[in-house]
Amino acid sequence: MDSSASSAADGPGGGEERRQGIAALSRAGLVGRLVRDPGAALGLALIIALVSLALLAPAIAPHDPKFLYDNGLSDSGAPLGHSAAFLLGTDPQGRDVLSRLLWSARTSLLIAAVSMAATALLGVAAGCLAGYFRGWVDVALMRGTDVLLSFPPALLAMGIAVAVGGGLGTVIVVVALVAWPPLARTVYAQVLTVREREFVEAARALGAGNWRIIRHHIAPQVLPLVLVYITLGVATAVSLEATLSFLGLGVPVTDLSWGVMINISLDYYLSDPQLVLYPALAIIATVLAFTLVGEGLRRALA
Amino acid sequence: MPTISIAARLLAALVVAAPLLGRDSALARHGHATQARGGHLTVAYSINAVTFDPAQSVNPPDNGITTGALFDGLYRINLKGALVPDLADGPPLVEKAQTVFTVHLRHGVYFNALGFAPRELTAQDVVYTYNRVLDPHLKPATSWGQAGDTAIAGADAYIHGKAKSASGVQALDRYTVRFTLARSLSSFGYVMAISANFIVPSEAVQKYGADFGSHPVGTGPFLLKQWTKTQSLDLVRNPRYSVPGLPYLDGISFQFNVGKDLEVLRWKGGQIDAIGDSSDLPPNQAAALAADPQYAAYVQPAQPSPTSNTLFINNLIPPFDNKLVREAVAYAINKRRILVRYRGQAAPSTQLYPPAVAQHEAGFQGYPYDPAKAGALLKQAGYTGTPVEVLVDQGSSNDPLEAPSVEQDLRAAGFTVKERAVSDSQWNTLAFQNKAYTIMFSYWSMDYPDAYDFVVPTYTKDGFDGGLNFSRYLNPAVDTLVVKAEALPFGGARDALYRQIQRTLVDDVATVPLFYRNRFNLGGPHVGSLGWSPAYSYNEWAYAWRR
Repeated sequence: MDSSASSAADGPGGGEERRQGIAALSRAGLVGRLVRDPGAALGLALIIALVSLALLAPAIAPHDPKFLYDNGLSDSGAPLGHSAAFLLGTDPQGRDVLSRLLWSARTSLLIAAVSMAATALLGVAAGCLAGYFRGWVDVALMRGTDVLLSFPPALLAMGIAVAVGGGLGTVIVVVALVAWPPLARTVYAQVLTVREREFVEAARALGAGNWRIIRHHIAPQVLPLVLVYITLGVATAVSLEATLSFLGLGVPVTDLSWGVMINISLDYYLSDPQLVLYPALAIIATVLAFTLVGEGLRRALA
Repeated sequence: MPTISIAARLLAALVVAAPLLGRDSALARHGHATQARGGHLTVAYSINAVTFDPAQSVNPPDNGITTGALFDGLYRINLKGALVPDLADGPPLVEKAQTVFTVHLRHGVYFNALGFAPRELTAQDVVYTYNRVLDPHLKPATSWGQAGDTAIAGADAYIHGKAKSASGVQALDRYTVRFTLARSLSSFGYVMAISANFIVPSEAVQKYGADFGSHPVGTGPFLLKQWTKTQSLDLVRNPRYSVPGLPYLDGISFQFNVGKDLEVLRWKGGQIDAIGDSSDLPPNQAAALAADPQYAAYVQPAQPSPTSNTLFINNLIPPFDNKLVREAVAYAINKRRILVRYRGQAAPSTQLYPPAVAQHEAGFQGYPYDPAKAGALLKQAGYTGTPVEVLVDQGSSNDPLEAPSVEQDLRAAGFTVKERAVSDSQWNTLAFQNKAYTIMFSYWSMDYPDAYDFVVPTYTKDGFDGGLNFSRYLNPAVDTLVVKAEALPFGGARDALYRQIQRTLVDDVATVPLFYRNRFNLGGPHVGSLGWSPAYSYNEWAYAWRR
């Protein structure tokens, strides 16, 4: 029924409202506004650079990031500083720091991308369903969300990681679990307003089913909000991954991530501070980039 | 059966037992006149102390304080790594082919604690303690010392609920205990020095139950004054301590859970007098301190090394059920590369027994680093690329340091390598299942300076099924040699058998010896000594003194 009622069920003004929501996201308009916003432009440039470096890591990394080079440590076993062979020096195992930084970007961005996709899916689904259907669906979903929100996010993340053990998959699940409840709450609040709007009433009067109304009339209205949240959420995901990996609860020490780089170099922060500084700067740059773009999006969509 | 006069048996037993005891046993519990007396030291550990119950304490802070400060055993390992009488008044009387050990207790030794009415130690306390260690229902957990005491006659029946106590430990009179063993065990003198067997009073244990570890009542040189769990512990001199002149100090304060960097910063800033265990420090920090002229004088090396770090290869998991593949691993490992990462805090090893062990063989030829030969052996073995998994304990300070190097070597030799990084608790679950891992790292630090401690738990049937035999190595020939060795008194013939055992184990590549960890105590301008002992637990606090 949903599919057969497609255009008629948009109702008077419904298509316009939907178009307004999506228009806010139109590529030319949105990108134009972001580019004109100095902060967002800087953030965009950083993101493009980071993603490019991450994608090109296999081609541009000067060394194998996991290989222990016999010339990668001093005679006394100390990590090396900058040199022609190792541009950013070596880590305590004699591995190339620059190569590890580049490859670690892939891990951090992969975790952020997948966990934020899951967050968007869960948060939008829960918020839309609870806000639209109300009743027991609302109670069940929002009380569950409240329970998750009542835990401090970092504590919840650490608790889950300790319980199920670390790993790439665990970090993705943990980040998504921590991130979706606030999004669900925000979407829910938005849906409560949207569901009372005339175009929704009109669509319903014209025979549109619940799922069609949610997909075609409600969801587009919350999309800009979700986009802002997810963009800012990437920053949270990157820092949460780094925190968990630094604590030994996230990405295994045998893998590559900025948090792992800090974790295994922590004993060296006094003697070789660059080992902690470089991955920390990478995390800061990523968090800053996504925060700037997220804030820019917020302004652009306001 | 021929009869022998009591005098002759006594003489024979003393001759047999004499080598068991260090030549400096007279010094064992007597101080030197030159040490300063009085004062107080503050010592920090980066990890926590959980219990001061001898039957339960395992980690260096727990175990070291329990055995080095609060309790005594019948025998103990002294500062020079020798077995010496402690609560016993002399060597055990050993009879009947190392199956009967009779021990006389010193008189006038008192259990003491703040709030506890001092009470003299008797043979009944010894009987109680050994049965408690064997108790399968002990709370909060079965003692780790249980396995070591199973040689006592009747232990198995007691453990399996068929007897109310182990018949092999008996009080002959107020000050005499007799141990009757189910099999010959010349090492039993050492077993009596294992910290789990340090003597506890029954009434205190019964009063506090599973929480005895928070209310220790012992015969040691210090008494527990205050314990703020997870943070600090204050000990004061035991005025009823039975050894004249000891302890040197009036008190010791311990700090726990101090971060490694903070530990060093506090030490450099004079907020603590010493760091409890240098192996607790990251190698780069330990190396930096040892090399710094300002601090080098405070480094108190602990030599010879009592610790053997090895790579365990699970013999039950293909392809390591093939000796040629195990040999390939032995040739593939570049130990020098690992040592560089330990920054001088370790020395390469070719054998299982570390230098502090009596049967250690100087010049022992193990497997040299020869990656070409490793590759050839793999081909000869018909290795087809079955992935081998290296288990990495992320919580360990050793595994992340050693694993990358070993994995690289294995790959270079032709192995297909997978990594499996796990938490401490996961490691503890996996390591004690026969087939839950393939390759892993571990180390053994000696409880006493004898090969028995390195062979039996780790390479015989005793530790095979879910025990410390992490190689899951089973060789009846080795088990038979151990039985033969333990029927002999201490000396050349027994040592020769243990060296033969070591050669068999190395030849079979039951494990791959990697290195010996060098430890040192980190004292300071106020620290005369921390009473370093090479046996596990590391400190005899009675001998610590302040300048």
